[in-house]
Amino acid sequence: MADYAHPEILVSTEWLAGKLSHPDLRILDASWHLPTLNRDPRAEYAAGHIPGAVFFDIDAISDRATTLPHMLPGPAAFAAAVGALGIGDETFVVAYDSYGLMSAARVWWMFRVFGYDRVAVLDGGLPKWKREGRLLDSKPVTPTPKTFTPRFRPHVLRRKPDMLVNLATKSEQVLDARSPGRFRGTEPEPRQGMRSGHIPGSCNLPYAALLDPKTQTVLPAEALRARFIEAGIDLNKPVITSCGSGITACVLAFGLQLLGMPLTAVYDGSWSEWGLPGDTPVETG
Amino acid sequence: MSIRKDVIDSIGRTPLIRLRGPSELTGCEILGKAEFMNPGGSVKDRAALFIIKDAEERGLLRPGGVIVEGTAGNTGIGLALVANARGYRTVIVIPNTQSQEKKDALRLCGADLREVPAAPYASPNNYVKVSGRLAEEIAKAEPAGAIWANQFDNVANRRAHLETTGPEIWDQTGGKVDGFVSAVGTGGTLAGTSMYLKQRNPKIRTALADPMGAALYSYYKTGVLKSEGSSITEGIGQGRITKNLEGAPIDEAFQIPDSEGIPLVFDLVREGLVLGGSTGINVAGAIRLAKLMGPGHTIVTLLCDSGYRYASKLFNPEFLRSKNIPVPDWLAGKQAVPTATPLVST
Repeated sequence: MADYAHPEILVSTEWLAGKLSHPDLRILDASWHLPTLNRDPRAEYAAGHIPGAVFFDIDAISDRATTLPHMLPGPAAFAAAVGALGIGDETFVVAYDSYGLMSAARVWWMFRVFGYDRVAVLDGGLPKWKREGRLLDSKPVTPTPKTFTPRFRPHVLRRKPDMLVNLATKSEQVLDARSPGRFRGTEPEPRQGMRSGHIPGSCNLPYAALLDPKTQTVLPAEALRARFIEAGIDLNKPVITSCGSGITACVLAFGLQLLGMPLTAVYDGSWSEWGLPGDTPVETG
Repeated sequence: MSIRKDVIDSIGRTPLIRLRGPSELTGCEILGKAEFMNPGGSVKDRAALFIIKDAEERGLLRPGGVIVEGTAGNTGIGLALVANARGYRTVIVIPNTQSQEKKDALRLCGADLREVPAAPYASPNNYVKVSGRLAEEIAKAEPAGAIWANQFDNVANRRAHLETTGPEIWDQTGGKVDGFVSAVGTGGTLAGTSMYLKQRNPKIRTALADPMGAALYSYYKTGVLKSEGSSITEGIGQGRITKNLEGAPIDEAFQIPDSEGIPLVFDLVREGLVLGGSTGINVAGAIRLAKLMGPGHTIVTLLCDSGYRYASKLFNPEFLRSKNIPVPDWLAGKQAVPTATPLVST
């Protein structure tokens, strides 16, 4: 038993396989790839997805008024987009991605930010599903549109001005999900023209450290807790998570919720915003 | 800093209160675990929490899932509160013969009440059985899952007491506890707490306090499930060996008539404790065990719920008279403090 404080937000492949035909279940393929990888998640979805799943396009369901990548859309835009995916106020949402657990956590967090709690993440994601020889489908899925009512929780969203204030007040711990090399500034940023390093005072915990390296499933509670503590996090105090562009930060937020922490705030702009040429202070090493 | 992170974090860790009258009467330390101080107002919060946690761990509940139970009382309130705190919904099946105040209490906690005509336990239309079927039906329709709490035979109930009530009593007394007494509704409290205490010290005497109308006193004395009489207490009194009771290490059994237990409830009001009828049976059992063991022992029992939930029965003079139970002075209006001046000048 994994012994999480909130086991209900993580579903197993076995659980999902038993619910596939459920009319009120909406499975979302939330796969997303770093731009440098040149992978097209929508094409990969079309080639093979969990039966009944629809594609959740993280780059498209975003604030289109900014040049920053996939920033959180407004509540009305989010509601319209997920309503079109067949998600209404009674739908149970399960998100997965093609890595195991990466961008699915972003979709989980987006629903939570918009006040919707009937959402869970598939443990082990598509790799585990495939490894177990479960059904895959390449048929297009046409969802019946539904009405989704957003209830925005702005207090779990952090923007640049909030982060600047926090630099001075240090009232919240900042935890960065990028690789140690990017965090220290010894490894180049995948997006061109960015400065290297991290937000002063922040801690580092690469999101993949929360997963079993063999199965890509989430570590049991005790090991999970140890990872956060080793990274220098006090689990009794509030945390803001951050990363390259606000996606893998949500994996950390998901892990913290599994351990019973309140819904964690995410710095939406993350390094894509903070690391732009400019005067935000940057620390290296 | 001592902030409880949510209401669930406030379940349990209740005070252990010395009961002055019963202690002075027996020369023992008779201690009551103040379960009425749980957020839902009763010991049932513990079982509700463990039943829901168990279902979560077994993957049966997802955010927005449903908890179904057939109950008229405190378990429904406990389930509704824990469910609310964890983002689940509650459906409670209740016999339509139950008092309005009970239905209101469940409704105001947000439970979805389904009233059914009263039917005996043997009937498929008994409310507990209806609740089991309803849970199955909802589980098929609700992707987030639905569970039947099934408090009588779901041993997550007694695990709550094995893992919390028992250890708390042991710690709070510093291990200096000689006896534990409890009435049985589901059997979770008596079995779980006794199992824990016996593990720590096999010499601790454990005892059942059984109200009239229940069959367990006879069972533990003679091996035969047999009942006689009746009781106005609610939530206790069992006619069968539930799964929670199976294998419970019980040394003594006392049969407590209402004429013995209910006056103790009124005595406790004089100590500043306004409690329900089942607590009267518990305290009477503790006094019996104290007398059996002799002075100098420490006996623990539970103060199951508060009396405020029973204004229309236990604390209603007309109802008490109809049951031939003496009405306490202050309810009979015989306790006025003499005063000379009129309250309002004319």
